[in-house]
Amino acid sequence: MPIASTLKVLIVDDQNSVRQMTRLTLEELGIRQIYEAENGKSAFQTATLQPVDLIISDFNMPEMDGLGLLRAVRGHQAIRKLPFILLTGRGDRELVVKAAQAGVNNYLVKPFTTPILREKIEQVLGKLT
Amino acid sequence: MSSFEQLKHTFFDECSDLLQQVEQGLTDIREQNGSDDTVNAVFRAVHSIKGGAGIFGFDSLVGFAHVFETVLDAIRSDRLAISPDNVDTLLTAGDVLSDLVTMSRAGETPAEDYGRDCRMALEALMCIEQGEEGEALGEDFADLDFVPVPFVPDEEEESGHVYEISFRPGAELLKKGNEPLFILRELRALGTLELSADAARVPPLSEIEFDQPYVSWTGTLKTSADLAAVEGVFDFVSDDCDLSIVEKASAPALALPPDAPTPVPEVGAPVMPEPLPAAMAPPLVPADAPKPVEAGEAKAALAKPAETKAAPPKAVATTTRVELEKIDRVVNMVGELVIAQAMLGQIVQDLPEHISGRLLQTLDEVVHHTRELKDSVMSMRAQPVGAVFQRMPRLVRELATKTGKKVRLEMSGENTEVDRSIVEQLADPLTHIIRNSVDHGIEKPADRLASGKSEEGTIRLGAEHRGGRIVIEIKDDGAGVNPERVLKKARERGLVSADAQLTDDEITNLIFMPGFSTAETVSDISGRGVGMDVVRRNIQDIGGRISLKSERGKGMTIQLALPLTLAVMDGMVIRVGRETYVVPMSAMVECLRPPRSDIHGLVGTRGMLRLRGELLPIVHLGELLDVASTESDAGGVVIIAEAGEDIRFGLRVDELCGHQQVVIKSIEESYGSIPGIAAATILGNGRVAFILDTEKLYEMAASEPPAPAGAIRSENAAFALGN
Amino acid sequence: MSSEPLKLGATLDMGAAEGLLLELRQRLQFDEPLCIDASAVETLTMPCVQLILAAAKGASVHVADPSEAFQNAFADLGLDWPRDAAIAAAREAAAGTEAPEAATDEASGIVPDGDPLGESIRSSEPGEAAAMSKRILTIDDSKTIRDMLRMTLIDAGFEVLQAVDGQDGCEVMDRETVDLVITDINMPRMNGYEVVRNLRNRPELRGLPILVLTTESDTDKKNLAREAGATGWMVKPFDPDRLIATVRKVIQ
Repeated sequence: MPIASTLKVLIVDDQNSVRQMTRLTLEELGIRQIYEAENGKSAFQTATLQPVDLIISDFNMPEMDGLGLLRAVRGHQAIRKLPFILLTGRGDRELVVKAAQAGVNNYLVKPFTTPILREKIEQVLGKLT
Repeated sequence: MSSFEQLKHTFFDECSDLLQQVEQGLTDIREQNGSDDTVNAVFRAVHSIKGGAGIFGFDSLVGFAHVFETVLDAIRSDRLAISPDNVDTLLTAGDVLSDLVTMSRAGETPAEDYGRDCRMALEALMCIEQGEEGEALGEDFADLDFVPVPFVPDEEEESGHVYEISFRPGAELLKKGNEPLFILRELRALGTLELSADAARVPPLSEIEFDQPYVSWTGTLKTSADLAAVEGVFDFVSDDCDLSIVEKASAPALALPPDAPTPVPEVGAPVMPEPLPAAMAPPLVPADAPKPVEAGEAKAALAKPAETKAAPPKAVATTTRVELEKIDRVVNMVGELVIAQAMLGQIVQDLPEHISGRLLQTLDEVVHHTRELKDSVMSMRAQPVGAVFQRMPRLVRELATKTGKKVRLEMSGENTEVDRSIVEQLADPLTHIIRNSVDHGIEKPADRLASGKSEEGTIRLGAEHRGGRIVIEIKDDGAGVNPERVLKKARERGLVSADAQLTDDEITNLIFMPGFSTAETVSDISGRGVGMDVVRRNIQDIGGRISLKSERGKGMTIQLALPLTLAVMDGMVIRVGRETYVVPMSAMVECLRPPRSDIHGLVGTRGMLRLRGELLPIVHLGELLDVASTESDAGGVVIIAEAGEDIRFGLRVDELCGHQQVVIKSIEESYGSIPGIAAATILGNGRVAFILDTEKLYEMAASEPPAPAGAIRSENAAFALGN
Repeated sequence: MSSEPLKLGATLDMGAAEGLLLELRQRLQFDEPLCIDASAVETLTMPCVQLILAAAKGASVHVADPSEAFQNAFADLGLDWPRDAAIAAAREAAAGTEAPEAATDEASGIVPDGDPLGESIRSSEPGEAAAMSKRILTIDDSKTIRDMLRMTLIDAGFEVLQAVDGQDGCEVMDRETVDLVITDINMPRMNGYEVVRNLRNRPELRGLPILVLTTESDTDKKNLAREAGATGWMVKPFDPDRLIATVRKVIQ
């Protein structure tokens, strides 16, 4: 059972306001160690350089989109099992299918509320304490 | 501001950038300059706006953005082609989107049918059905059979240690407030713990004492943490329990023969909870590969690295938002630093030679660094003029439509940087100039054709750095200024005497007179009473200059020359009599001590100087500012200064005292506007000196009553402007 | 089974143990099967766990509807809670035929209204909000340290009380109930060791976690504090993460 305050979460989204919103929501869940990245490429770098317990990533980003990041992570030996939650928009059905095929742990439709975020995280990592 | 409000703020800041991307992208597409990525970029921008709007609950914005985005998506997936008509619809959609953002930002709720026409046009493009799916917040796609995948760390991959632990709390442990449950949880968080509890010694209810411990534990912990970390869990209770932590040999992942189906831990602990799926049967790390050793690399979410101390670097791009106040504070500090440094220089000057030598050298270095610091800091305040330029295309579009003309706007040099405060002050004058251009400059399509021009008029808006300033040029190919009309109007209003002979240039510049407008009808567009005189004042207030050139029938060019930065500048300290002043270096062309024979007719404030074959007017600063000069008429120094585009004159002073960086301190608040004085500064010697406004000085000299001697009058022709 | 289930309250820590022991003894004095309703449990620690196990040693005890917190506590301790098939069956049957139990009136109290033992029990009272934040008393004569502690703890969701020295701290403890005390050692009027001894002398505060603030290298102080009865220590200067991690070693 992961302890929220020791969990390291990486938020990936090219929009600062969405990143901050997600950060606030994560903080409500007691998560304190939150990294940010603006696109898939820099997120991938961060994930390979330091221990990250969970990636929450948007799909639509320049340079490397969410699916690209997911595939890169799954393909990298050291971090291939890194838990990954993809943020999707309303109507992004095909995206979810593709993401599932690429090995995503869970998905989350924007906009979301704190309880829903908690649920999605707990479905992957177990109960947050 | 609450964090939520702050976020909204951030979102709207983002929207400005995003809307700009939309505008730029669509314009590129229209001009056939688009690439595959352009549509994508526009799509992403609209999508992002929609996403953010959804978070903050701006429903009408979301609704419109969604339709817009759908069309863009269709285009980028080649389901819909781009045609000139669509692009116009899209451009309009961009405008509607921008308006909706503005309204949301101001807290207004747009009318139900705001932008409806545009929306319908978009929908028509797509044959989109009316009405949207209303999914609840974060609701999943119920029809997909998606099952979340829980994270299960690979135990075999955990490099590291296996510890055998036995823990038996002693009599005092619970009484002192320690709790075995929390200790065991902390242990669990280090890795994988298999635990067995021995509750045999729990007495029956009749004998039990509630503050005594009776349960003990033994277990195996697999973790990448080292012994010290494991022992650390028991720090508080080590004196109050029986504890043993023994490390066994490391996890045997590599020692396996390649065909072993399931690795068996050495220690004989209970069977592994998850048997390996068949596909992973061979060990994950081939025998000769280096063992993944770095502690803490184990990615299991349940593995807690020993101490998480160092702040992780954020993987964000290379820009960041900083509150303006913070930058301004730094700017001020740098300003003070410059002053202090100047004072230091002064003190050092007065020291005996053998001491001051090295000091001066070092001081020079300090000056150099401060200069660099100042430049860096000022560049933080620098913004690309594009920030102001970006509003112009829409302005031109709307005006063109309103006036029934065809106008295109070409921009260049949007990345040219200038101080933020200047950018802000630039908006109004620039807007007015461009309005003028569309309204009065560019002719109606029919008229243009009739005079052999293309139907569509062009306005070129450009910016570039030139000679320590930023020059902004607005050039149109319209009708230009009609000298006869202007002269007539000027005479009608008594601005010029009936028989005055003026060159075309002079006539053109009459436009800058207050209240001057040649518009036959006061249209609602530019007829608000904002004349070119106000524009000029605006420009001058920020230390800039404006000039105008016109060619009848061909077009008009307006040039704005603005200083790059405001707060700290290089100045030449000069003396007249007992007063010290500073002349901005940017306004100075050269200095000289002309021989007596080259100066003519120095009467009152004015005279003439012969320089390299030319005659230049000169101004006697002392006379102008009513300060007694200590030099005779023949002596002194003349500074050749600029007073406007192509206007040069000499400024006669007593002495040059050296050049230094000065910090500009505004005196407007305390003293209001003093003619000829731009600002003030504190010199190295601690005294206050005024910074001169050379252009103003020139005007002041020009407006003095003309000198009695007739011979000078014609030579004063150059002074005729301005009144 | 004639008696109604024993409904456990929300907070079963050391403070609730004494009361629970008496209650259990009373219930089981005639060796009747006992059903324990654990649906409302939020905090459960070793003392009460042991009592439940002890009860099951001499009688038929069944824990019904264990809350998640209840289950997690047992699981993390590597223990199983008592289950009795017969009692479970009887309960099922009873639920089908009887009207909803009146026990719901005593929603969150172990002790029925009016029981004199109710005073000694530190579990939550009827009507109290379920997940209350834990309360921490910080005692330090330095305002800076007090403020830093306060900020960090409040950020982590705790409620914070403050005292300016040992004496003040003891006076606060006369009137308030807290879940943890953090105290500096060097203070005027009454120092940290004295505070620890004072608090440990109060029977109602048995098992209360008390942490002392020390500097890293001071083993002597740590030992002295432990001898006085402190639960553990907190290192100064502290960084927020380590502070919270240490707090969680002793309260959750």
